[in-house]
Amino acid sequence: MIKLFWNTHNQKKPSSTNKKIREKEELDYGWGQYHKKSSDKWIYEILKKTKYSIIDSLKNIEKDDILIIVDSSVEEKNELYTKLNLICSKIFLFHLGDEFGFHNLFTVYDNCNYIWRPFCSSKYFKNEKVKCIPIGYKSGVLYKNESNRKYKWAFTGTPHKTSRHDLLFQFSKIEPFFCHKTEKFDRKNISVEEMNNILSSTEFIPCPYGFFHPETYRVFEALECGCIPIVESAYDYYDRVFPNNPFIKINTWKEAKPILEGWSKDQIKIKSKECTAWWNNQKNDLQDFIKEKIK
Amino acid sequence: MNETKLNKIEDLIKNKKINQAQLEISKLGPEFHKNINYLFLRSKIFYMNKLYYQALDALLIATEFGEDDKIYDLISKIYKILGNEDLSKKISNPDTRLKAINTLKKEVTGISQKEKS
Repeated sequence: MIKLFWNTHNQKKPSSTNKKIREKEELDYGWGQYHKKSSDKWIYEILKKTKYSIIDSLKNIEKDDILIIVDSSVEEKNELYTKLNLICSKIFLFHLGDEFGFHNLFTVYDNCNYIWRPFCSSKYFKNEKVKCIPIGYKSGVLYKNESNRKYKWAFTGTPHKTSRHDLLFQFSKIEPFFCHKTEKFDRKNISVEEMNNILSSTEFIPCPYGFFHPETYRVFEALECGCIPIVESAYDYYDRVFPNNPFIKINTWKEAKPILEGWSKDQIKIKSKECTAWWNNQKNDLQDFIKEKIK
Repeated sequence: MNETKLNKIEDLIKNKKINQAQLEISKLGPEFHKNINYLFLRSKIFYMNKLYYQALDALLIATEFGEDDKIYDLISKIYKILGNEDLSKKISNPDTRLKAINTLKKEVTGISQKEKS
């Protein structure tokens, strides 16, 4: 029997008296909750064509079950995965988080039959057991089918690095736009409903790199709402991970200005349709691939 | 010893052997991460690869650990390339650069190294 267990929010509660260990426990715990809250809709969407039953405890696993496990901070869970490997006939891991990619995960990955993970890095490009998947959109993001896209561009987030600072400098005179700067990650002060209204009313979404990794939710939230993502092409990340993608790619934000200022409504409509079609195909292919793998 | 390694990388950059310089600098460990000459050379490699934002981030981090004209000059040069003439001029002028850099770092919230040290 194929069973799915979501384990990101079951991290060990911070308890260590050692300051460094406690800090790591607090981070893992916080991120575990975050991944459950943010990624459940996305993960269940890509599993749409796969048949499974959801379990809420590892006690519900029986000998020779096939296990789909959605997890984070797996570097701390060698023992768990070794144990699961003894019980289950197959383990399929959806490994969320790990933006920095610093940990050696191969002892955990060795216990799994196949791994899907966002935040691709070169060490996974040729790995036959690991497939990099888009980080996807945050739960709640929904296209509102607005007929009028009143904003030329929109940005919500933290200007933590110079790319984002330059983006806001370069685009500040291109109106109308929506901009909401936040002080820290995940402190938005904007409701999901409002975000959906904004995304559904915007033509272009500039998608600067994340704090450490190029990939951010922003790209896939833009696609989900029919916007055109403009991504930074340093290191050709998006072309390497998503070949033939239709995103607009720039090296500096100045390069995007003539597009935002000069493209006609028809050009925008065609590009938007191209992006939406590509994204729907990506999701469809990914659903098929996952279904074929999990047997 | 550390400076010898950095001098070697500097020579490679001067001779436009950027890939080799990148390889050598990637071998250096965390003991270099607060060294402004190391951060400058990293920025220089980013700059020569036209990775301007990565270069600026490394240069702004370098300003957390010390002052050097070559750092401000490269920041100014990059902002000129990006088309932010006003900021470029403020940073190239020794009388206005500190205020301009501090204002910039207040807006770019991920640069400060204070909490991490």
